[in-house]
Amino acid sequence: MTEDPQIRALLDQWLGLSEMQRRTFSALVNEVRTTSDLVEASADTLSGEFQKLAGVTRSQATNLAEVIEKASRTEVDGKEIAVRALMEQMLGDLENMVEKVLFISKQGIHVTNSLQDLVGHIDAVDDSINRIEDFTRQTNYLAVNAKLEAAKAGEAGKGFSVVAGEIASMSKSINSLSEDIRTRMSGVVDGLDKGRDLVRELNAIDMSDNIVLKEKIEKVLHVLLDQNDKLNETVKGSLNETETITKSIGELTTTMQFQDRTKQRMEHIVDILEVLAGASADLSETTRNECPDLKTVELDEAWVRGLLDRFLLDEVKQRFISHVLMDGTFDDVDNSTGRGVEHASASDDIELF
Amino acid sequence: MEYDIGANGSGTVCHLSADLTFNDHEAFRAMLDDAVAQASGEIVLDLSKLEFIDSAGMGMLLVAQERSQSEGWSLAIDKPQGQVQKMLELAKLGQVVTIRS
Repeated sequence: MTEDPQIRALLDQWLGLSEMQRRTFSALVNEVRTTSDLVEASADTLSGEFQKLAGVTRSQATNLAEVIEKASRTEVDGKEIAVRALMEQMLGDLENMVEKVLFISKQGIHVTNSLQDLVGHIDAVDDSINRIEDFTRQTNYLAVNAKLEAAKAGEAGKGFSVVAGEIASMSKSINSLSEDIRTRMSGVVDGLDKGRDLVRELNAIDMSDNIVLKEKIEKVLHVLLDQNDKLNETVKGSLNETETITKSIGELTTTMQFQDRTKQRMEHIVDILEVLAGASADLSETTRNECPDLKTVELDEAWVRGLLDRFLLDEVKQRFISHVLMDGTFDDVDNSTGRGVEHASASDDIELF
Repeated sequence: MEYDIGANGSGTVCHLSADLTFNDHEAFRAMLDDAVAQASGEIVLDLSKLEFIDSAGMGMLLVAQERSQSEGWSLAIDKPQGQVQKMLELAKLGQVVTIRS
């Protein structure tokens, strides 16, 4: 088509560059796909791990809730009861016990006072019996004297003598009754003395220890209540933290969906790069069709070296070399790992040429 | 128990000392009878010198409180110390008798 050597040289150069662009586009397409696959695989792995973590934390939250429930309740005589309610009930029982101790002590003093009063009354009864006995003794003397005087009066005193005899007889009966009362009162006094001794023994039992015991048990119960409350607060705090972690993991899993958007964008880039590679190839073919006698394309080694110097990851560089210099025929490069070595040395590049 | 009875501006004061146990119930009762006979206002049991009280002694204080209610005079307890103060607190005696520190 043209015989102008300068234009032919330019066309040769253009074809060389066009070939390099096509291979570069192809290499970039490969790199973008590799990156996309790497991101997808990593995102899937991360998402899976987060799901596992979410499951574990949910399980942990359930366990903690069970711990709270079990720590706050206990079983007494087959009935389930809250620990706090049980301890409050025990404190109430202790109060009740002290009240009963005080009530018993007070009633003991009342009984002692009553017995003391009773002894006073019995002493008064004893005095009364003594007085009755004095009266009956005097009455008896009077009756005897009256009988003597009646005897002196002869026939006229016979009736009076009978009355005096009856009075003497009554006096004896009263005296006998007084003795009977004294005997019975003596029994009462004996019983009363025994009762006083028993009450004295009962009241002499010092129940102060029971009152002091209440204080000790109260202290222990309050310590246990405090510990129980602190344990519940701690476990509840852990439960809240676990719920926060579970929520955060859920949000992280949602955030991992960025991978879908990234893949779509990369597919767009791949698509455009393929279009560009196709356009470059079409233009080369058109040029060759128009100028069939142009030279075979030679790669611009200096240009490639300049391009390779820009790569920092050895793995990426090797894949690029495979696509650009060997036109995709060099397959020893692992596309799957995604791991690279930073700042590969220039000597590696030369060996691969 | 040892005691003496005096007076202050507002009534009769019984000063108790040593221990108050069951063996003192007759003396305590006699003291209270004397105090009631002399009382011109409230009766104060000054426990500042009382060193020990047992459950029977607490019973005596409660009986004195009941007696004050039934006979219509007022009872107060002054300055309980040490073991005595602790026992009064544990028994919550302050809920039924005026206790002044």
